[in-house]
Amino acid sequence: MILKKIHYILLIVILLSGCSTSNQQMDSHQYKNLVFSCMPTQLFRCEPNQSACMTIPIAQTFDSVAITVDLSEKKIRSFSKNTLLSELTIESIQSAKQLIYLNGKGIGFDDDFRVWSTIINRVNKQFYSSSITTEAGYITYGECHESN
Amino acid sequence: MVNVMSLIKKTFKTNHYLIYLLLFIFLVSTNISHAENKTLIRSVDFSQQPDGDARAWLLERGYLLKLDADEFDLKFKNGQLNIKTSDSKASLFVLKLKPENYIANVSSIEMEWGVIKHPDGANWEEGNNRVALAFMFFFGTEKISSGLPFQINSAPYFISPFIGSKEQKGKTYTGKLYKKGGRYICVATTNGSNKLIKSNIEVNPEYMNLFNKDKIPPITGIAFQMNTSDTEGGAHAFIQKLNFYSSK
Repeated sequence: MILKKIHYILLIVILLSGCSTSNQQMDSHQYKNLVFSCMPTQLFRCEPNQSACMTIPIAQTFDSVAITVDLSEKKIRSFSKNTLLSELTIESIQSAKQLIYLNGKGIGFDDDFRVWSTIINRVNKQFYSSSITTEAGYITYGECHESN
Repeated sequence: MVNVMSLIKKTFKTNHYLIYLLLFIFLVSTNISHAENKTLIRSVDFSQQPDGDARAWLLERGYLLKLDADEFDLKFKNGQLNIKTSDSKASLFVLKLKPENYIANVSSIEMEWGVIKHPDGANWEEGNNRVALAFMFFFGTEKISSGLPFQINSAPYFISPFIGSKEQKGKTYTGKLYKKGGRYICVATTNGSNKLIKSNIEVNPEYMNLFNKDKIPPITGIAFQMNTSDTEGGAHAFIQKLNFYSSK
């Protein structure tokens, strides 16, 4: 009788651990084909010799900028209408607790070298991106919508 | 004519001096003929505007009021558009021209404007790039990087003449942003008064060489800005007239 109970308990534990493993695998695989469409909403520029970061208004004078995060292609692109403005190559992708961490570096279309990292929060549908060039650091906030 | 030539030759004794004289006459005559060919092709003139609020007038004509522009005082007074703030804020007033209204073949731009009060602390020489009043003339439609991430706020090539205070008259400055596509030129300096300043910039290949462009694209947008961010005491400036000339 006791052996039977132990057997059932072990069975339940095995089943539960199997489910848990399956969930983790889903989580790690699920994001790989995701595409996020994002809109920047806030931008800050920081310089070492400044006491505070400068708020850069997103003027949209010459059309708004849309950002696409394509995890299958490992690219972050920005567009103005249909014109490609910038393209970043994602070097690493990690995820945990509905947060996706992206990192990369390289010379952009503007000839500036930048190191950057971006976090996408799938729960509140927001992104936070920081980048550093030789002159300044930038923080960009935005809203994201995802699609497979 | 022969007598004149021989007289000149005698006067200067050598052909060396004669060549210099002829070259001088040629250059002077070329400049005179160049000036005579200047044609007014477009004008923005506030001199006939009755006194009153200017915000509605600007909006009706398609100006986009950007950044904190809504919080600036905009009035027509004495035939001048007055822009004023007592705060530390940034404003941008942009008129994007429709393709049929692009201003092509511009050789020079004349500005009649002035500064009544400069923002305290504005100084391009020391890196605080703020202005009581600056124009921005955008060339072409190609969007050039602002230097911001994701190319946010990209804009066409532009030159931006401004009235300075502590800056050097005639000096071209590069801002913290738009390093590739924008140049800011201090065309006049003043300590701030009601004095009307008449400024002129030549839109020639020399300017566009700043942007590595051989051919000057048409002007596709006009803007003016007042930026008192990171300064104190606010600012007050005015615009009376803007004339675009072609040399053709």
